[in-house]
Amino acid sequence: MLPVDASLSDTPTLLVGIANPETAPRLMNLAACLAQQAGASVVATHIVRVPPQAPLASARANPRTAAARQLLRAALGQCRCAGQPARGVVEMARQVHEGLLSAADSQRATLILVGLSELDPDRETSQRKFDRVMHRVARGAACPVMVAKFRIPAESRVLLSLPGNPDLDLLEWVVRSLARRPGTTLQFLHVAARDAKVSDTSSSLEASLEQRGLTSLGEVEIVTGESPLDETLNRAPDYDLVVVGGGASQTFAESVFGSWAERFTVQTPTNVLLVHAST
Amino acid sequence: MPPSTATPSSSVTGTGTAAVEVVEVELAKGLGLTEALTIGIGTMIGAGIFVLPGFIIAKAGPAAVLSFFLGGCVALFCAMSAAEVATGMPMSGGGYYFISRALGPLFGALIGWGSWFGLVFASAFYMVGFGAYVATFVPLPVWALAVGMTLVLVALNLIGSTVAGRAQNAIVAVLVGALALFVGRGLFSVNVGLITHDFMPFGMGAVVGGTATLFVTYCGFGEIASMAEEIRNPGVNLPKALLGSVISVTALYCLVLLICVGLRPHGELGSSTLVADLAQDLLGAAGRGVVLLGAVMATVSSANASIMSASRISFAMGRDSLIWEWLNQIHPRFRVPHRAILVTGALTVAVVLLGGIEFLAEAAGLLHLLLYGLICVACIILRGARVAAYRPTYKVPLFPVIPLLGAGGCLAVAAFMGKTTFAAGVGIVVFAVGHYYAWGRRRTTLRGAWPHFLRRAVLEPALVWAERWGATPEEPPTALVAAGRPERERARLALAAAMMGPAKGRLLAVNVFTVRGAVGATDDLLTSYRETLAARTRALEKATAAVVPPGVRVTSHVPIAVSVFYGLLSAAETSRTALSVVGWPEPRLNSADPVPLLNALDNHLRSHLFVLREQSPVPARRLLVVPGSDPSGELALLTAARLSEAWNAHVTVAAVVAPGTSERVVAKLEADLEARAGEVTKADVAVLPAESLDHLDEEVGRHDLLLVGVPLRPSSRLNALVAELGGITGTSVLLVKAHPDQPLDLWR
Repeated sequence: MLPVDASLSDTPTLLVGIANPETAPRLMNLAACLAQQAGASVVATHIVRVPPQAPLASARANPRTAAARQLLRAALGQCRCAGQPARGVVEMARQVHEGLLSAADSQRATLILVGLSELDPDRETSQRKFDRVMHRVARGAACPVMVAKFRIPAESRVLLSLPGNPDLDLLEWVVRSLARRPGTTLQFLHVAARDAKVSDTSSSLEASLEQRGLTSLGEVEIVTGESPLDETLNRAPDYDLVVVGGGASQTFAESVFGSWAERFTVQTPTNVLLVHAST
Repeated sequence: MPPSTATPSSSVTGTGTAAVEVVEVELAKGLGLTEALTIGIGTMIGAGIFVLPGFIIAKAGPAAVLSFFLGGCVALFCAMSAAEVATGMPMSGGGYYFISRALGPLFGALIGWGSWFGLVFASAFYMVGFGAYVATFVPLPVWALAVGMTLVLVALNLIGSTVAGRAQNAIVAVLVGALALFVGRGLFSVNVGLITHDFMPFGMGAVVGGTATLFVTYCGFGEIASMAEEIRNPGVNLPKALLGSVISVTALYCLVLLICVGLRPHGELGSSTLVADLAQDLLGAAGRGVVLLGAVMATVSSANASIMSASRISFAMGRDSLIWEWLNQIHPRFRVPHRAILVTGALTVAVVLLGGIEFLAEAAGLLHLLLYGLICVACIILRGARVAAYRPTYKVPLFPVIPLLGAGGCLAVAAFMGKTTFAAGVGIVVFAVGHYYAWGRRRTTLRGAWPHFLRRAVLEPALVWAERWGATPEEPPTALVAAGRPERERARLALAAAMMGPAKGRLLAVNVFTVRGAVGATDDLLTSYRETLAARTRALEKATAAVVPPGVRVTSHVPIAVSVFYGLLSAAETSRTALSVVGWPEPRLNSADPVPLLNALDNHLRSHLFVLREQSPVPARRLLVVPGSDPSGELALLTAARLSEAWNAHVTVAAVVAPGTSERVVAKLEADLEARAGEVTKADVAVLPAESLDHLDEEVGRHDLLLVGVPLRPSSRLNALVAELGGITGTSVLLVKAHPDQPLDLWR
């Protein structure tokens, strides 16, 4: 289910980037849920930035490193409470994205999960440029990257937006992981182009979901519309968590203005899990 | 979970219970080949190629091209040596680190200070070059512009700015673009006659003298080596970046010089803004503008890199207690070594105000020549010393010819420096040596690898040579393996073979045939003995074929004795065993002392003692070493190094501390462990808070073999550890106890 290179690692490894003590527990809960589904191990990491004027190793005795250890210990405790053992790595790096990618490389991560800080929707640049660090991580990583944005406390009503989710293995893993949570209801949404035949789309989509045994986990809704962004945004307030996919390849416009999934993440009032397939 | 393979890491666990939360510390490897190449090229192409061609052509004529080429060759030889030592020891600190580890603290102090001053002179040179170029369009004195820009760079570095570093790619693109434009257009205008006619008007001495002055233009490739611990896949990317940057920069310099001397007669080429002047001839005002922009950016970027590097050298020296710790304190807000940066800035300003541009270039060049020459020497020493911590993935071809050529080239070029430059160089050396004897010598615990080099690369070959001429060869060292239980023989044999292989020793597999009480030589007894002997020989052959590498001689010995102890003792005494490997004692229900045989062996054997409890496959791939502090601890580390080499195993060296131990003590322990482990092998380091060893279930569970150094005092400690570690499951345990009469040199 989870894409694993057996030659590199015995068990899949889920790398979780921890930066914010407020959202860390939810991120670790989500990580535990994903890891348990795939039998993966969890490694939580926090990046300590070191200016180029000092050697990386100089940060070992830095108070920030001590604080990072405390942060990770708290996060690991949360993960253990969810029944999933985990380890922590304080990564000292010049840039945050370098640290995340280096940790992913050294831990041989099969998935990177990171949280996203609150963006200001009034700022033009935030909408256009989703997040520079996440962009660099998503482009540089050799494994899939998931970005979680938490806005509201509940996570029980889940909407899975199918367009933009190019990796069905990854999608299946997320679906099955979320379905393990008690009280969770799942709804699949596919936005077809206006001129597409809904019946054809419906049958092919249901067939591929059926093949993976996912139709029993949630209903499939197929709608026609101009823009997946608008259609998904319209439905988002009825759900607690929306899972959207970010493609591996990007057009020039997307690289400048951000993909629709990224814009959705900025604009929606609900929790979002953005799934970015590996490049 | 695969361990982190390249960087040393430390770990601290939260509690000593089963629910241990492990938090490790890692250094990110954020630089790929492109970034490393950019750093090398960007640091090298500084003011030199824009400022110095006029001086060198005035000195050597059209043969200035040869001066640059010679400089490139010396730099290339040094870069090859630097590539080997940097892949062997990918740590921050660059040349200082390699030289101090090879030649010891005195040379470490010398080269640390030398490098620091070299970078100060280089920064000053770049800033004066900046001033000279900016003064062509801003009506201010050169010194004022140079000092002003130095202060700006110091301020940027004090607040931890990464602006200059992030602009490195763009700067390199502009630089290489400007020079490529100059070369591309100039190739069509070159008058070959101007080059060939009177090519070397002032002789070869002037050519090498030119190389001495211009060598500063090659300073910078060492910066790649100093970032070694941040480079991904250093075994491949470091040599490529080092050699690639030196070769490409040398080619570019030579082409620029060819264009310069091919455009005008050499008598008209003495200007300090020569390249910009010629660009105006070739490309008009726009071309001059591009070259000026490139020159200004180059000087700023190179000076910035030099100021950053200086603070890192100060850090590396501080780590070895060779410089005042006060200097390396980190600013709480900006997280930079503000005092080191301020001192570097103040020295740079002073040197800008004191020295002319040619002196600055030569002084920077001289100190860098000293650094690069000693890196070549370090390469020879580290390879010859065969220390376990040095495992280069790139090896200099034609060793030792290339490092010798590098060191000799540096020496030859340095000999052509001016007297003032020499005086400055000697002054810095005297200061560095004086400071070491007055301050650093009492504090540092750093030891160089040169004694190992002397013994292994000089004395031992000399002894071998002497033996060939009639001396009596010594008997090979012997390891005794108690081989009474077939199911345990293989692990013990594999362990002993890994230990004895490099020493060209032999294994003596001993299975004692016990006879109780006073018995005569009955036929039954002798028949039984012969059958045992045959069975043991067959079993041994089978076990040996599976685990003992070819080249290690194994002998079976079945002594007849009244007890296992006397049989093992007589075998050990007869063969003068250096090491005895025995199995873990089984618990005895009806005895006050559960391990009488082990006690007896511990008290009476005159060899190092290994007690192995095999619970996971051997060869082991992940070793956890808890060495302790006395000779047993050293032997445990040496054993780990041998096993790591023989089994390609990953080693973690750990110390156990009481839960709640302060971060300061933990950091000091980590540093001590790193230093001890670094002497013998490549290893991660961990400090583990726990009440005792048997509380480290999770950490031990992540390894295949736990090695514990058994303290020599109290003598009951071995028994205690056997009882303490008896509960560990899933991981093999090896207790290592050194014998005070046995030297450890055999295992180094």
